[in-house]
Amino acid sequence: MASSPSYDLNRVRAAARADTEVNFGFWAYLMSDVVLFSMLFLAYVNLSQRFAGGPTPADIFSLHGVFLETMALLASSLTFGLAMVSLHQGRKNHIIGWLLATAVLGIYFLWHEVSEFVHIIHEGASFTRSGFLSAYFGLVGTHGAHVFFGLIWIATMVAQLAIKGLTPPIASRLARLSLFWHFLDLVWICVFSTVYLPGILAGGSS
Amino acid sequence: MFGKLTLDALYHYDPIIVFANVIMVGAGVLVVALLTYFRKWGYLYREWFTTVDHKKIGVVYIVIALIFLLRGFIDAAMVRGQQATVGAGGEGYLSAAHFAELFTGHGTMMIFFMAMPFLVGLMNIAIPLQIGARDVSFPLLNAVSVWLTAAAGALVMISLLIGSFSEAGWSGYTPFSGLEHSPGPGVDYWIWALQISGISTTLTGVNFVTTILKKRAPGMTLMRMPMFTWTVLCTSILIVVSFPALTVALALLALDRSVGTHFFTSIMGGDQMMYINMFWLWGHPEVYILVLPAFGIFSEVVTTYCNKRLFGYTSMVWATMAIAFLSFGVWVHHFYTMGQDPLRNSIFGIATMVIAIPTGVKIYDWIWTMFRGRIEYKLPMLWTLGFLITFVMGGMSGVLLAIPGADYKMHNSLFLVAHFHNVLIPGTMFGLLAGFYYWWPKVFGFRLDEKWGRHSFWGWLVGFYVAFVPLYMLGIMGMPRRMVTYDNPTWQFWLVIAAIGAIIVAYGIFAMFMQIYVSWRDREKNADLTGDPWGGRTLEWAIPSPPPEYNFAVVPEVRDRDAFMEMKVNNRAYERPAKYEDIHMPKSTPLPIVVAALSFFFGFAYVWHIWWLAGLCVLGTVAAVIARSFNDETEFVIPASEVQADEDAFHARLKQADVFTHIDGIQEFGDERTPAGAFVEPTTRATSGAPS
Amino acid sequence: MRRLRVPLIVVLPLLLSACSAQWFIDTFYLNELVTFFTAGPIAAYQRNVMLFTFTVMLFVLVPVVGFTLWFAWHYRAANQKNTYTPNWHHSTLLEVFLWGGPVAIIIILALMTVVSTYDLDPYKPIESENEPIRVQAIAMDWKWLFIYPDYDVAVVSELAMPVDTPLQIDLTSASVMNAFMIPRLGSQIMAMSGMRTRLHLMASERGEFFGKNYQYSGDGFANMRFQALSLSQQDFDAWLAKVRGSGRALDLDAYRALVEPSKKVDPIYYSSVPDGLFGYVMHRFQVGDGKVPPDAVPSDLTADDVAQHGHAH
Repeated sequence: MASSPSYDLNRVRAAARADTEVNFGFWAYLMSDVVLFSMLFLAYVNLSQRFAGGPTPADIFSLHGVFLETMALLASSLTFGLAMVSLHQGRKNHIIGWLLATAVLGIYFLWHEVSEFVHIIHEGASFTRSGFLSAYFGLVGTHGAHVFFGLIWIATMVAQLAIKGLTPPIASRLARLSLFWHFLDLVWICVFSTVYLPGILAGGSS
Repeated sequence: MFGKLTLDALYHYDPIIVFANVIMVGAGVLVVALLTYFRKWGYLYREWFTTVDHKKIGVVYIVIALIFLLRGFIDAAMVRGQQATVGAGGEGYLSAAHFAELFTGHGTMMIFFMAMPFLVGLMNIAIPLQIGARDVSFPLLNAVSVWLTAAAGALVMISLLIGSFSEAGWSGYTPFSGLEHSPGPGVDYWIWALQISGISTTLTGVNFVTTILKKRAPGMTLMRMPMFTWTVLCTSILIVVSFPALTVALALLALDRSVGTHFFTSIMGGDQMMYINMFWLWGHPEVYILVLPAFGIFSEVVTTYCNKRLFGYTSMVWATMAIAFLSFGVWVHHFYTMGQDPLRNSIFGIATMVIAIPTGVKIYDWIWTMFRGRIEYKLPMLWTLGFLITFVMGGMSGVLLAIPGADYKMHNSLFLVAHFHNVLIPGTMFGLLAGFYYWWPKVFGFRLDEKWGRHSFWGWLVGFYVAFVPLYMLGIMGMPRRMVTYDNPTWQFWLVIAAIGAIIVAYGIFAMFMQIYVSWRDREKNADLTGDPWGGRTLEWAIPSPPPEYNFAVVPEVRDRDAFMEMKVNNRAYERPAKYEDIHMPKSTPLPIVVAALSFFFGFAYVWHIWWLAGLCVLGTVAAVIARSFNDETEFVIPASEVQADEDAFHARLKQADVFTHIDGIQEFGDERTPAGAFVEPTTRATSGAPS
Repeated sequence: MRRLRVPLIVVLPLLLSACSAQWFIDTFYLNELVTFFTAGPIAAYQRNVMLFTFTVMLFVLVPVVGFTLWFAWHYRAANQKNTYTPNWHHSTLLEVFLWGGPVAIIIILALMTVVSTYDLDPYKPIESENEPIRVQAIAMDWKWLFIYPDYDVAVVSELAMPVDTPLQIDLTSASVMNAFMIPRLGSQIMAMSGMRTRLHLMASERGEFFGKNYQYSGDGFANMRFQALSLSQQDFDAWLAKVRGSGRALDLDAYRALVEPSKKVDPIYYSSVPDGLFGYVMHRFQVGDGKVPPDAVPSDLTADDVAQHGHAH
């Protein structure tokens, strides 16, 4: 079945093209999300030195864990890209496979992030401790929440693909999910270079 | 089980609040009883609660706006009443806490639940029609937006009965709005009402950016869009870019209040000024979100009732875009007095004043559109003239306040209050009302009564001056805003005059509701048979009033800026195709009201810390959206024969109103290339309804 | 209509002359326009800024209102004799004026804005022959505490100053955001917890002026006012003696009692103040919960050091 799509492949491809009305609307939504994250980045940068006598970035961040997280998320962007390649080839089962691989990497990322949060809180550095920690949990947590909803979306798409096959509406949704997932990757790169890198570098030099 | 919610929340120390609750609950019970008695629930559900038709959604928005106009006005009247009667050193009939709830509620409701829904309602009604589209880009999302606004409004309403509303002012400055200084549920109600309505507005912004950029009829290039469409495009972009700042500010404030973070607290490394920066990063663009579409309405009104093309269309477009762009660079002028260095204050002061340039150009363009026109004094034109003369005063006091040196002195005084009312009432309210009168016949198929409309106009205009000139005086006399009492006896004289102004405005509001009633009673006599009651120039007037669900039987082809006027001139108006085609339209769905109800309960649960209910609501929303995504049968077909029948009936009405002879009278109009000297003779325009 | 107009023209001037200027002033309380009746150089400068701006803006107001009324009347549809040009929609020359006019006005105002903003910067010391007096103001729920570090006294709800002597006021808050202003002296500035702002004012005439918090701060806001006393040097010295003679010390216990919310607070005099109290109050917001503990003020905290951590400069 995988190589014989139930719909005309050209219609499926057309639905995934970026210039449809729905995709345009999704870009507009992403713009609003960019502003949302910008505000959180501003909050972080503004509060990043307000420790109120509590722990500093060097006390709580570990480069090792963040490196693994980052690699997982970058790899998940790659697997999603492969899912989209399969979409253009019209191979339904390949899409499902790559989507599941993406989901596994996403789950790994989230698990890592949550255990990092738990660890930090256990060390007495909860979000109630200082402005800096509030901003850290706020920014990184919001990104994590986005990844979580991305995972729900992936699960939904896998179910829809399995039940309905590769229909034009589903192809169109996958195109937007792809945008969303790559967008989260981009945001994470900003998080990494705004939050972790300076924090760890400052810790290393002191 | 019920979090912080106990029976105490129903106890109100203040007899005025008890009385208000009796009225509110009584009115609610009465409405429900009447609907049940007349068996209207099925009709409401089918035609309104589940609709995705942009015109009906627009009407729902405006109904919400009118309800909150009344509530917001009552709050304002009680504030005026307190200040006028309290006398120097007195206590008055309001407690300090209740007074604070009133001024907070007034601002919150007028901005978020009156002006915004009114505006979005008019956008919904007019934009798809003006651009020749059959609906907005995302009709379902549109329905979600409107019912989210209703849910947010319901949260404000319920706060009157269960608990209390915020006392922190409509802008909710931290740390006052923090848990330590505002421990009650009021600020939480305020946060979630704003949060839900803000998300609704963001979705609307996304929807209209896409609609305007992607759904225009063939031939309608960007520079052929009607001015209202242009301003709504700019406003929608502003919404998409600015509302997330509010979302973040409110979300972080909610976290500070509920889980003890330190984003905006004054202790433990929080930064109270960060909230104020974020709030105004949204708040100042918001002013232009409100005022730009009103400017668009004035452009439509001026051209229609002056029977002329708009003067300086290109200037208008650039001015609109300049205002939208500059609106992001001025937010610091809301707090010059925070102690920044003079360099920063100067930069923001100048940026603020620079906005006066494109605004001034727009005003001059309207004035020069009147030049050598044939001005008909229908209601929308009256509101426009009232705007032109009144708004310039508000602009003047605005430039004054833009100068840091003067603002150091006038900030937080009643002068400031007078200024922003002087901008928002003529700029936004008069524009919204002009649009209301202008598009009413299009939506309902009958025109509004002129006599009561004039009463309403003069009530608002005279009332405005009587109410707000005293506030300018009091500001110069040094009276701060938000005073429940005062000890300077000389202030009372002006406060009494201001209260009289409020009474005159009340008459204006009363006259408007009378007008709606009278016009509805005489709707047969006021019927608009042709769909073109004013001699309109844009596409919405090319179709019947009220328009069919699909708006345009045939998608029109646009050849000029004033698309419909061009059709009338070139005898293309009301052209019929050889054959009609089936039309696909989106189906009604209960999803929007389900999502809205869940949002309401989520907000309520969060206010009272009923966490299990909040969690259930989030789960329910996600489940509802996923379930919906499995449904691919979202459209239905209107058969060509039905379209043909509608059109036959419409053309019979057009003949009855003798429209075609009138259209032949419109000889010349010309297009962009017409030399400026080629003026045409006065047009005889299509009139509608009963013979005059 | 025509019959009405003639009597009006006759009656109106009669009416006007019957009412003297004094009648207007008394009826409309025009002598209470404190923004125009200033008592210090800052307020006077600000009044001039406002009057200048108002005058310049008349060049916008008059044409807009004039043209609107004229065109609205002249081009009414009933007047069919007028020229009617339904297609006329562009004139480059006219547009140059429509853009150029506002641009010119805004350039004038922008220049004035820069000059006046630097001149009126609240942080800029006022030039005077007399040495400035330092005051530290702490906004509380719902009263002002004024500390005179040079004289080691503190006062609640009363701010005395010698005439023609600049005040250098440092402000912070022990509660929510407040705004300090004495309208007849000029400039307003915010007082925020954990931060310090600064304001310079001077009275150039003797008198009693009302001062207030202008930023809504809760139930007691409306009555959160104080009396500003501009005194001769002799009277100021007498006032200081009176404060010192009160014999009430503002120790930390007294401070903790004072900072509790209270409304309509009458003046309270304190004959001594712990050194560094102002900085300590700020500091407790930066590192603690904003409450001042009962033990002594740390001696190593200076207000300048503490203020470094705040936002405002």
